[in-house]
Amino acid sequence: MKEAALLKRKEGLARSWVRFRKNPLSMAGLTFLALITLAAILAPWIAPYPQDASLGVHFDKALSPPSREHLFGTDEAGRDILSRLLFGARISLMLAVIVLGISFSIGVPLGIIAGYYGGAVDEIIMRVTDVFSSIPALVMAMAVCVLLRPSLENSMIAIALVWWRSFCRLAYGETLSLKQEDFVTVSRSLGSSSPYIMFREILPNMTSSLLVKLTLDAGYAILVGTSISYLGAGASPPTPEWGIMVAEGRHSLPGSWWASLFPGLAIFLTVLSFNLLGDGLRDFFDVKVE
Amino acid sequence: MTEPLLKTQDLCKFFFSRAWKLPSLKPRIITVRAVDKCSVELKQGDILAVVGESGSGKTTLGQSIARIINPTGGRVWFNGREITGVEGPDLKALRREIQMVFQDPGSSLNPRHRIDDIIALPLKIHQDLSRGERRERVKELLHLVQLPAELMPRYPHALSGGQKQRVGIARALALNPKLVILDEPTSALDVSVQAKILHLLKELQNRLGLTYLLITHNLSIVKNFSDKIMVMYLGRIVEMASTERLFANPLHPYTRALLSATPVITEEERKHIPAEITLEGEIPSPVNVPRTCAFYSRCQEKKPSCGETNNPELEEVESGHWVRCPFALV
Amino acid sequence: MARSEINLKELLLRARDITVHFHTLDGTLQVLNRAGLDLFQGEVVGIVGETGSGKSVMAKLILGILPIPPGKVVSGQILFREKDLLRMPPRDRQSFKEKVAYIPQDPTTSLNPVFPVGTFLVDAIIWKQCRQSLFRYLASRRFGPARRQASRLAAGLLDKVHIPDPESMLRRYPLQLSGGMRQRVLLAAALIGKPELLVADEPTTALDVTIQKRILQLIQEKVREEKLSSLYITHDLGVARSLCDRIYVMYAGTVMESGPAGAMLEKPLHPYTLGLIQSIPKLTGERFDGIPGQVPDYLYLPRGCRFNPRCHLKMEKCTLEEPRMTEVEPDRWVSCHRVQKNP
Repeated sequence: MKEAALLKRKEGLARSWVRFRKNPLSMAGLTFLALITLAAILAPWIAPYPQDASLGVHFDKALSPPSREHLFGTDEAGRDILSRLLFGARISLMLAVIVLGISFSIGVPLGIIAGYYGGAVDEIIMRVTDVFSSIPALVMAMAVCVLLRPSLENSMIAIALVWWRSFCRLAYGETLSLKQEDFVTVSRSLGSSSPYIMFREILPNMTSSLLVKLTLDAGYAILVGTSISYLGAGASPPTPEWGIMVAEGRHSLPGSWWASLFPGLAIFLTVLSFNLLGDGLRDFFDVKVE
Repeated sequence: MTEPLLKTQDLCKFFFSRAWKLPSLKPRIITVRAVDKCSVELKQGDILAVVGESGSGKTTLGQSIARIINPTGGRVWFNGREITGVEGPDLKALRREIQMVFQDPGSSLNPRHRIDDIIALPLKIHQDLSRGERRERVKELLHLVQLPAELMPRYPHALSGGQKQRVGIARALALNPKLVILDEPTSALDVSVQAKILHLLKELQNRLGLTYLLITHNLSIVKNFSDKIMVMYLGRIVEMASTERLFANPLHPYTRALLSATPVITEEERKHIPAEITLEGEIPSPVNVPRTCAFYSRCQEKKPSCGETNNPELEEVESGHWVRCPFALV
Repeated sequence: MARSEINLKELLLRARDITVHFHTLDGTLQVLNRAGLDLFQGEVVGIVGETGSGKSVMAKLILGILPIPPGKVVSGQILFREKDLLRMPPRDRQSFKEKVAYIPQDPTTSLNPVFPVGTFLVDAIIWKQCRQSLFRYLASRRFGPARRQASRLAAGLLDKVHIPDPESMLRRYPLQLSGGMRQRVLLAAALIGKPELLVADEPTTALDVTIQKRILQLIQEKVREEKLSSLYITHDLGVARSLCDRIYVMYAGTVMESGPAGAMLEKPLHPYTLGLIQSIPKLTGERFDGIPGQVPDYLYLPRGCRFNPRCHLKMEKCTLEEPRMTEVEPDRWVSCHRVQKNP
């Protein structure tokens, strides 16, 4: 009888998906992100004027308002904003993936090691983290960028260098509480090696908080990335990066409002979607909410 | 006479911490004497129950013997060899012989690991088996604890409390240990499940020739399960005897109070416990245990001299029956 | 004195035919199934059951803290002095809540660690006094004669639960206290405002056995002194025996048996009660066995009597029709097809 009941209960992922579906905001976030990702992947094929994303310039059409030919209008070099936005999505999403990938790979192992061993190891790692934490992300990233010569790649490195600290903190905190759990004691008493305990016993139990953090941070990382480019320390023209697009369009405000508005809206909606998705994921993992 | 399987002599486990009280810059060392000079002997096939409430040190004692934590002092022998302070490969070898079953089945199984991985873990660490051989052994162990092999790919949250505890037992038996330390194995389970787990443990003992050290606070279980009992209070053994003798003639005032406080269901049962003894006061903290008799503050039968003399010794007042109270009458 | 002799005026609480459903993602869980109980003035009634038996749901429903939704009271009534709690207007509910005290299960998580014990008690006292007026509460909370008087009352309450040196205890933080002490503080808080009904949800489960004994004695003492009636929820039959006048045994959301504690535990009538008692190792050394099978999943309940898959006395009727609670002996009620009234 227990088996029949087990069958009726949707297990694990299926169950969580049903719960997730019920939250309209998270679904909206997920949908929008799915669309953006799709758009980014298919950009070369669906962009109406793909050449505008790089070198195409048409000064005769500069700053024309939204119309049937150019749904979002054109910028000061006559390039189709919609096409540039689509290519810009690629850049921003790629930035999020690379930045988070690097900082995750640095921060999480360091945090787990610090939390597990304690003592001097803990102190050294966490104090270094503290140093990195004392400077706001944007400021530090800017500084690094400027030092290294402003470019899109360097801005990604800069942000990653700054971002790992919060992953470190999160992994550290989770490790501290997880290492008290009985199953860790059991593992140790059976003779497991420390790396096994850290990465095969403890780490799998923090995946939910890491996933939520990754999602929320993706939005914020994109924000920082576009801000750096906006300030001129990141991508440089003619790259169709959303941040520079906003910066370039700034000169034409408020008359040609579309040049800054649409890139800005793209940033806003993308970051918002990541936030909504992240919130939804947090609820999705929180069994007590049920 | 055969060698005891396990023997400890004056086993101690202390926890130290420092406290500063300004304006003095010199810290005061606070000592928690969790286990204070315990000497125990277990023969092969015995079931020894270690009974006590919080702060008695019973769990710490079990963990010290299992080398989950390292004792601060004293000597330990296992199977005739002294194992005090072993490290490295010797310690690893020891782990195959002494295993522990934990109290809370919910937290002693990693929620992210599958059942077969959980049970196979000791095999992976200590034995050189192929994956197929390991699988077979896991199936064997599941069968031993009366669980269906279908549970192998599942995760702990799909199992009931009793099933989880059986998995914990299967894991402990994976390496064919000689001594199994059971830390309150049924406290977290429902009553109707407790009985089944206890019967399973008894059966396994018979079948595999195991020796048990049962840590518990439940005297009813102890009466029906163990051969010998050791009562602990604030890190010290206060009474030790065969189960029969202890229940027939509890001598230490704490033992009697403990018995008296055991909730009984039938009038028949009530006849087996001493009359109403209700202890006043709280269980004192194991921090800075007094040098006098540890039970002095709550003892209902204390004499004036108890508060002045040092902690009494454990005396054998009749064959096999030891008490730490000079006024215990046989 | 048999219950049938007592006139209904002394009946404090009567729950009848309570059926509660929980709507979850997986389906509807029928967590309470025509459960009922009676509580007379001055009694201690125990609700005994294992995990998942529905005893906590019952208690929460009576206290009015059951989350609705996802819970839903499909049928039944709970009469408190002949007023139905489930259909009361809010104002009456409020006055009911003032007469009920609650002692929770885990003393550690029930006291806010950031406030000293005194603050907690004084706050509760003042709130009870200013029950209608939020303004009055805010005004008297921090200063003034109301606070001083409340402090004195708090010390008095702590004294009632035999806490040594109540004045200094007021200044201490919960984390500085042992489990037993915390539970006494919660008991003191429960006595604020002279309640009539005390609902205790396994208050001694987390305590050591010698401390438990002391707390049980204390509860018994206070129930007598303050002329309280008490609903005591526990899974421990021994505790129920020592404390309760009458017991209700619950299984899978249904009341299986009820009767006076002593008589019921000496001679249980329902196979489940019998099985439960037999599962417990006893100091007499007699044989103990578990009950075969497992507690049913509320999603997939057996047809007929909910206990039938595990019952050694099962008949065919048991798998088809649910039994009703019948009084088979004076004051002994059983829900079982096998156990019938003596003609």
